[in-house]
Amino acid sequence: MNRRTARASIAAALIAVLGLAVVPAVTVQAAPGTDSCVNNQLRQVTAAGHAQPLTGSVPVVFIHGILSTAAMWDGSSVGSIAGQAARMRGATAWTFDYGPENLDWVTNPAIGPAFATAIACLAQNSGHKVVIVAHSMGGLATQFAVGQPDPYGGMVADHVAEVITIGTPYLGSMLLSAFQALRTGARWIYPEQYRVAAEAILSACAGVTSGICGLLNVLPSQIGTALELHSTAIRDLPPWPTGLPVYDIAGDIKLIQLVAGPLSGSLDLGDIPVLTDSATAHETTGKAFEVSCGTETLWNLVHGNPGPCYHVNLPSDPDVIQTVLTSIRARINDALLPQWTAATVAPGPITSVSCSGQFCVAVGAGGAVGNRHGYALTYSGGAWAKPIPLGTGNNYTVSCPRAGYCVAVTDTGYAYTLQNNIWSGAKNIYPAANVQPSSTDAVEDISCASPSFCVAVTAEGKALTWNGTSWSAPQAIGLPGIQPPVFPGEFSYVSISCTTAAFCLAGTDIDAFNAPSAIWNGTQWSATPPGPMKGAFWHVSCANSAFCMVSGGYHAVGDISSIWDGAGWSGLAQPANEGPALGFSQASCPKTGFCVAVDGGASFNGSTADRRNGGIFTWSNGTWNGPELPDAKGDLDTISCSTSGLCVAADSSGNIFVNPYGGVTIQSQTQSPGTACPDSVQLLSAWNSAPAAIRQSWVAPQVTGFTDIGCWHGWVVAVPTTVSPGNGDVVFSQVGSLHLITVTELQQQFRSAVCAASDAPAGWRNPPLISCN
Amino acid sequence: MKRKILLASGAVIVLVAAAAVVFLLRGGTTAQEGSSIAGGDIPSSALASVRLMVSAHGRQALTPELDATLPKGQLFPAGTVFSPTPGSWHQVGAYGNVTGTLRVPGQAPAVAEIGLVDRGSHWLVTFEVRK
Repeated sequence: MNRRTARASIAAALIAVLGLAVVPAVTVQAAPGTDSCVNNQLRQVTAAGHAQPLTGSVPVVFIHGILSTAAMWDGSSVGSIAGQAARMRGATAWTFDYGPENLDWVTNPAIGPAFATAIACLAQNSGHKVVIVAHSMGGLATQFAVGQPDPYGGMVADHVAEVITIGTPYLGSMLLSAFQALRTGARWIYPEQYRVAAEAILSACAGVTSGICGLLNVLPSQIGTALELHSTAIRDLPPWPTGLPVYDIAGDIKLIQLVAGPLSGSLDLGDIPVLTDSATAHETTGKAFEVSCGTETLWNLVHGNPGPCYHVNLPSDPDVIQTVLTSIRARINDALLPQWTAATVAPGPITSVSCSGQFCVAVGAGGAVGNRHGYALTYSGGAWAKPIPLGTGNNYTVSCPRAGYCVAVTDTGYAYTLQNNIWSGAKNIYPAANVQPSSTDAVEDISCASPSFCVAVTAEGKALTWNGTSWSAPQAIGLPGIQPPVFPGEFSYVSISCTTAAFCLAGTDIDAFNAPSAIWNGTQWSATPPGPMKGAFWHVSCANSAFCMVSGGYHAVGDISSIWDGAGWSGLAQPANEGPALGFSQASCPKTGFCVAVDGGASFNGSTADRRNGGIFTWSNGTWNGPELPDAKGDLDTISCSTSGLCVAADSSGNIFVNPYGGVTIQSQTQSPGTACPDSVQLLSAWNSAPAAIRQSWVAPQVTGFTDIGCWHGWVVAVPTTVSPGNGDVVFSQVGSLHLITVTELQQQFRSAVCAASDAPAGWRNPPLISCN
Repeated sequence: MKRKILLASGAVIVLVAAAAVVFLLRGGTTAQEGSSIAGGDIPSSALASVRLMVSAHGRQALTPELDATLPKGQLFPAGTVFSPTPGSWHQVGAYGNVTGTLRVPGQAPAVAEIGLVDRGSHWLVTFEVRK
């Protein structure tokens, strides 16, 4: 028996005693791109027996703690964190095992250094940063690993997206220190209550070897010393790299009684081996997640089940699982959602963009005020064409109701129509605006619901309607306070968004207290109830008559966006990652509940003191996310996203940015005309109506609802929310009545339809749902 | 001669291997070093401390450290009795525990466990907990 084998045997015995190794090791399955990383320590957690390819995935690697093995992650169970991570679209899940060495410190070559190699390999072969989920001392092994040089270049930390630690003793273990002090007679410098509690546990553990009493087995080992509070071994670890997100999860148990009546005060034990303070000592993501279990008695700690907050139980606590999965899902989205890229540069500022399908037009004007000349750039087939010169005009705005058909208007009252890839000549639609420089009644905005219905609005609140062949005479919208101007010589910015010939929403900012708006119902304008938005750069974008977003407002009070729900307004909170200097220039809302907004940054504030980077923020699922595409110039001015998922943003320097899947979730909402996308309740009803055998084939037990619902040509793909989680996606058909399809239908009809169509949602074409290759 | 050398070498190897195994096992086994008793009867000196604990002078039975963490006052009302369950004494090294029935006047009898530590000259109580 060599030393390693002997220690492995001891560890195995301890693990058995502790009851930690409750499931067989996860199955190793080779998949393309995984062979080079798999070894005795690094194994892939398979989803329903199928190993997803590492290449292109976001690797999620789980590392265990002391007195444990990779089996603790229970990857073969669909309800475990690892089991669920393995089923996430876009992810591969892995476990790292140092069980034979788990009485050694993390500097052992088989622990920290080997883990560093595993991380580097996963990142290199996947093409993505790795998400690490670490339990207990696994977090310290991670600290060591991410501080090592990466054999493929840089540091290992450079290839880590986030570290999530569960009960990691960043500062060491108070209880372990107390045990050691009692064992060796060392001087005790920490609160006396902990030594009292440790002595009580030592007494209670006479005759008991399982549960928390198993911790006593590490005392004579290397980690028995290394994991003491503020130990030299912990101090000597490489510091956590700056900028690496680390999210801490901790347990919180309080001991209330040691003899007779209660203690003078409850004693914080954290998750027992690790105090809460220690488990949350290195937290970079904002706020640690603490699982609170209230008070416990010594009897329950030693003889009963200490509950979900107990160190060993934390990783299987449903709340912990949920918060870890949420974090993993966010990192997958970060990594896999296509990014914004600089696409082209216009001759000068871009003042307006409009997209329809996979087609966009950007317009702007360059030159001195009063003598500016316009230009238009067309995006088609994934590329931008050279700018086409238009006529004079200080400010251009454009609207494309259909791919290949757009109408652009100038503030000076001229319109240009793009059709069959040719821009028409200038057509004077409003002579009253044709004054140089800009008139107080300049044409401000245009919105087209179709090629035969566009509405242009002027600074004095008039609407001019295009019917496909001619423009109407101006008609007052009826925005109180707009005429005469509150501030003579200045004019308001009036914005409009039309979704059909029977619905437009128009409005403006009069001053800091008045921002009137009105609705077009197909025959007349009528004022809306007052909205919360007040002030500068009122801009509106509507997905339909029941969902519009207004952006702009007074950033200083956080009033930068609000939503119209068909009957009234509600103000939105600012994005969490931005301060009060944020100000949106525009938002574009291609569907209900989904908007993409550009931060006007410095150009909005107009002050170097307030200067900040601009960026792009996404409103989805009731919250702002972002920023993406931080723009050092801070002058992103305009954005448009089509219902096909294409987004284009531009700044006042002429930089145009494209995200082909900027609204990736939008793509899945593309729907055949006349068929509504079902909601969670409807899907749940269809799910429950399906035969049990079909439901079970989706491995999604106890479904409680559905999220991420996407529809396309009668197919519905949604993610089930489950009590006991299962697969990442479930597919329904809307042919006939809404119904759950079989796996055979998935691989035949669904696959044929999706793989044959160029406009099918991109996310539907890839494993684990199907593969079109 | 060769046979003797071989035997001697074999013996040395066995001894070294045995010593190594013992060393490794000691290195990884329980921290509760010392003699172990499972299921015996509580030592009389430990039982004396338990009885002292339920008396009017109960605090004198506690370790001084535990005593300092508790609110002032008598631990148990007069008339409290603890009856150890025969064979319930467990001891590892200096630490032990005993299970029994705790009868507190006015309360239903309860199964209780009492922990003790041998501080050389006498046992002191480290905890008392009821099921």
